[in-house]
Amino acid sequence: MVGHAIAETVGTADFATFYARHHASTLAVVLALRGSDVPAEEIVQEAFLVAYRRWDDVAGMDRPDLWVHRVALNAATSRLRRLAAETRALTRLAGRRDAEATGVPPLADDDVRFWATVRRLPRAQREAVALHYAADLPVADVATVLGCPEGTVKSRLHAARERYAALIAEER
Amino acid sequence: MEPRDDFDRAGESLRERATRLTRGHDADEVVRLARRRRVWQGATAGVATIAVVVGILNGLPEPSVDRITVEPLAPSEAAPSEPPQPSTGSDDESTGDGDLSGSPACDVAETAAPPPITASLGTAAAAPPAAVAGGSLVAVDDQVLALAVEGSPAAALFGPGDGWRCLPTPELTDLRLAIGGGDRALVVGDDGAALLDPTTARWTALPLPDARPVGGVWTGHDFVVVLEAPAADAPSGVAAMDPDTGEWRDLAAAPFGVNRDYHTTVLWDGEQVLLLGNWLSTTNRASSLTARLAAYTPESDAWEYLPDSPLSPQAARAAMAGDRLVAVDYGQVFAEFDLDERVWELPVSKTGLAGSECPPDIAATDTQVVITSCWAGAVLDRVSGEWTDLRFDGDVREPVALDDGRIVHWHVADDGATALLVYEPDSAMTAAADVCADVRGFGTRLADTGIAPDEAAPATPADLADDVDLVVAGVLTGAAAAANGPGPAGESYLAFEFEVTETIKGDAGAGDTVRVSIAFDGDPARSAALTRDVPAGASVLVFAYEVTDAPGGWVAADGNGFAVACPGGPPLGQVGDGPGWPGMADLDALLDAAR
Repeated sequence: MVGHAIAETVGTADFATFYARHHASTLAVVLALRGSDVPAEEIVQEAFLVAYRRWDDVAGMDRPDLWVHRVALNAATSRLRRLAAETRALTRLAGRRDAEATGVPPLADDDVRFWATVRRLPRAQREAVALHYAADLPVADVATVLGCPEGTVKSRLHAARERYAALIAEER
Repeated sequence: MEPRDDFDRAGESLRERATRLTRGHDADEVVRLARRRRVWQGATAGVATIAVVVGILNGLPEPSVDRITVEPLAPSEAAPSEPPQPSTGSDDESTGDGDLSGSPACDVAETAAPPPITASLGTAAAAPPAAVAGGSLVAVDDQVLALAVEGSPAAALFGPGDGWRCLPTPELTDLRLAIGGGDRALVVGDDGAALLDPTTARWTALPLPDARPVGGVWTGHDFVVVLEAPAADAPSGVAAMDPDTGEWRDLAAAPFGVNRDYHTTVLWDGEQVLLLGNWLSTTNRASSLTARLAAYTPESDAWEYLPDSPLSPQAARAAMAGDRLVAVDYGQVFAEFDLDERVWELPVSKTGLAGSECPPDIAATDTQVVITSCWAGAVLDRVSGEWTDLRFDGDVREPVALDDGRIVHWHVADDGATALLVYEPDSAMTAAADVCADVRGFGTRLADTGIAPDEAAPATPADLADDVDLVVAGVLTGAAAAANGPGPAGESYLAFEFEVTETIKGDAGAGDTVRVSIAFDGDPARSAALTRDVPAGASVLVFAYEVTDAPGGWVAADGNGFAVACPGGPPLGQVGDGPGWPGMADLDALLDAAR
């Protein structure tokens, strides 16, 4: 049976440890980019599903956590994958609000406004912000995930902060 | 407060929230999901080649040829190889030039790989350029325009002659809408719009409409675009683009608002623009009980409400099939709207597919309707009224009807290999093809019982045969039943009936009718799926234990005991994975190995 094959080969215990260690930071990235809890959780689940299916390869990587961040980032910004995740979520929850669905109180209004503003930044900037501030990844790791030099990440973060300040000023 | 402080504080808050949300999840969810979605594949070997060739199990008549081949190609976009590549198409990396002199972002040379799929009803076209594979599809005459949806949209045309031709990239990012019309196509992105003349392969830059478009259609004179409504009680604006002038003009606003492209359809029936959908909040609260329908008449610049549909207010799509509007929702409810009588009809309330949590899509011609929904599809022969249930080894999406009567859609395998499947207008819904599609679907469901055995599978079929009490080949009768409730460790059983054709081991003779149960995890949805559409006439090979707590007294060996196959095809379903199992060409080979 194939399921048996996966369970044996993948090393479920290792995957479970990996999942437990890195789910929250991956979810934080997607929450930053998407906003709504439940679709974000669906997207992260999809990312870990990809990792699980390729665990033989992923487990051998130097930083599988950065790889799964990349997968989640792609999924969060892929229109088709996002739509599928959102629709699954809405179907499952039949229109319940995030807080009702998860039992976790919503973010404070200031934080909601902050991340909504971040989502108005150019894509390269908002991805860097999500990885650095939401996932708390150091610049070097952000550069690895985004596949660009550290200097580029720093300049994107700097530009993001300036653009954010400008957007906030416009609102006031 | 300094902006930098905002960033640190908000980051901490979000991490805290993510941590709290994570407490509701664990890795088992992913493992269960993987099993649920799994199709028959060589999971450990990293090889996903499934070849279904015609053949027979002992004594069965030989049907016509069908071949399905799935070969892994490049990794999918969502699963980059290490190290991660800068493939996100950031805003400041847009390279579209909108002119013939520019370099296309796709490369037909990439399409040299053989077609990865030849399906029984659709046939696979030449593999698409990787840059557009799985992207948005629109019909332009009898050609198909494929566009990447992320970043700067690479573009390519398929046909005529069934070849791919790369196009320059339009100067816009993040595709929002693409409309094929006559011999041109309109595309709208986040920051620009463009008009394609496929004859010259030239894009002409256009201004953006006043709001984000969520649907549109070509009326023969204009591209009419319905715009996102800002609130549940606000109507959607409507704009028209005359390709000869390249300018937008406002039309009368729609009588209701729409805001999600996967839940909005804009069609042209030859006289009126039809709009199906409604408004959904960010938490998917709908503005009406069902999807709404309205019609716009260009001559009078006026909309009128038509009767609300019987379809879900959350995910419904529609297409024109001759003079009728055909529609489907994510619950696979299928309905037709009679434009003359102005009434909704439910000729077949369900497509035959299980309800899916995927946004459905639909394309139609005078004679066929094709519905896709993640890894499943259905084709309606409008002449006979019969549905053919199609299941695929991967996602299917973006069905599009061409002017020449063909319907095409993407097939994206789990490993990202993508093919364009083409349905000819007169493609017969052959019984052989139907049975094989059903068998594949049934085999997938058999493999997806939600229960993994606790101990290692026997290394070879012969080892398993030694271990069990019954090894028989047979033919499914189609009968199935949920059996004796929750069993040990929360398991339940489903019984399948078949007529024995050959006995290798055990107390059963040729011609006997045997009921063999399999264990599953008790999920009612899985139970319903497993007992639905059991393909009568399909060949089976069963390894079973004699037990006292299952109807018929037999239960298929733990996770290894119930194989089914398309005629002559490889074993599907609960097939062992030890070193002696792979490479079984068909059930005959498995039967021989068990002797």
